[in-house]
Amino acid sequence: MVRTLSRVAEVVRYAVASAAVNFWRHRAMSLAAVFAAAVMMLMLNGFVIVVSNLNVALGALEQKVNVIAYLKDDAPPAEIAKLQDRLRANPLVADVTFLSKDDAMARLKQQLADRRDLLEMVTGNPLPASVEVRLKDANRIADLAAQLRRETVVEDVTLQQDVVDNLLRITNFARAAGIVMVASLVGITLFVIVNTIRLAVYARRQEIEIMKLVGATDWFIRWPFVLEGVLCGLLGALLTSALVGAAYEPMQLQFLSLVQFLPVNLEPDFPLRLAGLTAAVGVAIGAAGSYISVRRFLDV
Amino acid sequence: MIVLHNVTKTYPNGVSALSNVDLQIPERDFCFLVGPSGAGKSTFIRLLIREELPSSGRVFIDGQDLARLRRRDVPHLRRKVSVIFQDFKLLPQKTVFENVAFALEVSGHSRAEVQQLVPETLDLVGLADKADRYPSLLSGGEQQRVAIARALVRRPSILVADEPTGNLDPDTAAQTVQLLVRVNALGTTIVFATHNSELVNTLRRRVIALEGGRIVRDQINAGYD
Repeated sequence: MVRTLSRVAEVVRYAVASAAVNFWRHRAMSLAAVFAAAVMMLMLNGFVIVVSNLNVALGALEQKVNVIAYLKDDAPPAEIAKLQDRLRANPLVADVTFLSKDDAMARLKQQLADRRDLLEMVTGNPLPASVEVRLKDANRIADLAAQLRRETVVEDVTLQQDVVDNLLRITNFARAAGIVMVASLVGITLFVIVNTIRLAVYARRQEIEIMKLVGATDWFIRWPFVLEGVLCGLLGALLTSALVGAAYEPMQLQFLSLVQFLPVNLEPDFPLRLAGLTAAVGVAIGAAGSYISVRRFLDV
Repeated sequence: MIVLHNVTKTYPNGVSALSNVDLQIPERDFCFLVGPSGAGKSTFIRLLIREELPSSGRVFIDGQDLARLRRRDVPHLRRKVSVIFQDFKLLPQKTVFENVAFALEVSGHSRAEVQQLVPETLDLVGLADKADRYPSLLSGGEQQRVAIARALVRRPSILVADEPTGNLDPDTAAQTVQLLVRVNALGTTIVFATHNSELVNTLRRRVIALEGGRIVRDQINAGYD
């Protein structure tokens, strides 16, 4: 056990030393790889920030989404009760509230409390009873509206869809655009890292061949290069997180003032988790790039 | 124990390097592999460390069929079967000590082991005083001995030497051979590929002669011709 540990320690020491030497020997290329990784991850960060904010806003809006079904005045109470039961059993529905004619009037009076003059013009109760339905998923609002329109006791249906629709469209677009952008940037970064590491591998191809012939395992040969790639990715991630960390607060405030009407409120540990994600992506892309570069040279 | 069973090797370019070779080399044997250039000696060595696989037939080392060896077990084979390469394959940017230590590092020996085994081995090949030199500053014979030290330092059970005396003057060549004889006496199987008839005739060991990829002679206590 101790022996195994000391062997592992030896391999680690060797790998770390070689990686550092390689990184420094090709520092211009290494820096290019670091910057490519940083630019890619800046985009990734921006994308994650925008989509997260939009998602929070969308979630908040979805909480409020209602379909209101106005009921016919002559609808029998038993039918109305049955409609509510059916709605509560409906998988699309989160919540159902019944508003009788009197409730509607009371709400109106409350809303117009400082305009008594208007209220005085109202004689009797012209307001219909209604059922307010909150959905689980804003995307299905049209389906539910169609179902409600088929109900015999329903006079009319109104949707609060426009705002949600717009936000959904923006979010979906941002998501798609972000994925395409990040995917192409991942490709470019991978390319730069693969070439950086390949340079290091090529400079040491003779050493690699000899290592193979004297019995080095593939991983023993691979580790230093993988670590070098990881170092590039990690430095890129640090650079990115530093920039984002500096810019996050002011930009968040800017964004909030821009969309005041939306309740945008990300969890306080969001920047930390974002930095974690960035570091993980950096490490993964660095390791993958190196792995690809070394593979070709290992067939001895 | 090395066993070749009906081994044929034809390279993708159509060159036939070995055909129908049957051979057994027991443990602790010392044998010469002789024959003109292109007779198949180098291919034979490549097969032993699985740098190449036979086109047909089988190669066994200590009962292990090399064609069935998993990729990740190849390094273990190469630690058991050490090769002294004709062109030495030393790393120019490493010192003598580092070149020898390298063979230990790749198999994860501790630094303490490296500090103990490398000087011992350099002493054995007579290079203790040149440990800090770079290979380019050494004579051909000295480089050769570095290559031998690197092959020996891991105490392989089989040592294969590919023309180890090819570039050496007769005295140095004789020293090299004496060194390998000593190593053999310590229990290592030696396969010694050479053109050097004088050496072979002096030592009177087992001689395996290859010609055109076939074994034309396999004699114990023999000479070159």
